[in-house]
Amino acid sequence: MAAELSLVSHSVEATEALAEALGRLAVPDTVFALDGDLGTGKTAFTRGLARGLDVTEPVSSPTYTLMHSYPGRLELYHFDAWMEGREAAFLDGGGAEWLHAGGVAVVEWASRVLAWLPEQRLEVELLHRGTPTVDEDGNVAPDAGRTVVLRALGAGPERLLAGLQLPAGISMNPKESS
Amino acid sequence: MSRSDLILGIESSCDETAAAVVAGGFEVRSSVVHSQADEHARYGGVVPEIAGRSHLREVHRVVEQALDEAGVLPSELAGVAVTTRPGLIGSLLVGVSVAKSIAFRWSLPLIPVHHIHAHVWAATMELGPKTSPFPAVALVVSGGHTNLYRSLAPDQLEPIAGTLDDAAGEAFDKVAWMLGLGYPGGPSVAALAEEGDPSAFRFPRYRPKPTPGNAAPRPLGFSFSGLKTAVLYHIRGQDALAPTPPPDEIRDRADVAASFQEAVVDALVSQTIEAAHREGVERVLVAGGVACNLRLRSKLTDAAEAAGLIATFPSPAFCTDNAVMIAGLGHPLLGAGKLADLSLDAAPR
Repeated sequence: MAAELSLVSHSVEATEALAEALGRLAVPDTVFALDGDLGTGKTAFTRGLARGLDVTEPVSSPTYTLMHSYPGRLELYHFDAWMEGREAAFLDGGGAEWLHAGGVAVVEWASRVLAWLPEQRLEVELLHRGTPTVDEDGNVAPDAGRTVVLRALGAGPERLLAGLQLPAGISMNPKESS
Repeated sequence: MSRSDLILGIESSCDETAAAVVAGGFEVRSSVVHSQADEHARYGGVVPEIAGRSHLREVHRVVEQALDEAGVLPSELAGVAVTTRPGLIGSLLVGVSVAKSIAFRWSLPLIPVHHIHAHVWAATMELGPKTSPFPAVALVVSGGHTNLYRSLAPDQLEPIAGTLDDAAGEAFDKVAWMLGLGYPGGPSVAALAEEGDPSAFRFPRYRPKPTPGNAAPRPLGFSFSGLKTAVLYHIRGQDALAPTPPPDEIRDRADVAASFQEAVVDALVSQTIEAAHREGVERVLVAGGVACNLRLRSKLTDAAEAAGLIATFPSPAFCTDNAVMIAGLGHPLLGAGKLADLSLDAAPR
């Protein structure tokens, strides 16, 4: 059984705030399986999640080391399966143990390494709604926002989703089809 | 017995197994680097488990070869320097264990070296022992790092700014992938950029936003996420919802590569020069794999000159991981008595 919530995030800050709210609700061994095209806000989501776990260290890309851990209310394990061959070899070689080490795991490009992820997980899918513009200074301008689909697989993630209160800048998706 | 100033350096933090003998911090007697690139190529990047095992297989041969080529016996060394952090833990431990056993067997001082300090030392090696490079601003830029530091002494780097998201080298890797080029992306994008026009497209150069309501100057920092996204949208014909075309259908690939590289280089140059101004230093030290990039070398050298600064880069062979920089930095550390005992451990960060 899966509970699903389709939302619209109206800004990067709102995506971060949504993730922060989820981070506050997370319990040990919660796994966030994150998917979305380049530029949809996966890193922003992870940044918000870290904030919700009271992680004070700045979050950066774990591509080089395959996994970064951050101390917080619960330890945050940040995976990035962009290079799927590497991440699969890493998870296979013992890295998957971090998915149930008592912390909270977030896996970017999760669909590339689904075989290693636990059945109980909160899937987060980020989708473009239009073409954003990037200004001279590299800031992505406000645009049509992103569709955010939250899919709770298993009782734990379902409870988490049921407790979620939507932060400002996040609304229910009017079109269920997108 | 007169004490020699020969240091054996061992480096195994990522995917190169390296050993070198350097005299007095600057004079290279030997340098051996065994690259594991072929073993990792099919995964598109370094796999820690494979790296650790490969280090274990190669480290003895590499160390012996470095001693042989230098014509030095272990008993003639002044010390053994080894990278202890940061890096892949299973890889670091191989070098640390070997260094400890050599230090124990020959009663040599054991010198722990920070990998990033050593990369910066590689740049100072270009200046020779007579020129003090400090204080300087150091730009460390690679696949895992894009950071500016205040460099006050060989083992003293104080962070000024870092990246909000990807490292510069990583942005090169991702754009290389979009354009159907090989890994690592730095050399492959740079090669294609040679055929393109760097001003064909104006991709964004990230600058941190000024703090609202604060008259203080803009903070310093890097971000390559917006740039990467802008390149992707360009390739998709400015339609985020369109699929990414296959690489051979991207007609302006070379121009994209050149314009992307230009944006990365401009961001690195402007933030580095600004940091040097704010710190009131005259020298900029550049280190890490991306310091090999010729466009960065030429633009930063020119910009520094125009600003009354001097930019110093390591010679290309010592930009990427090597043990010369470890053995080199080992010399001043030994002089300062910064030694470890056999309980020395490695650390990932």
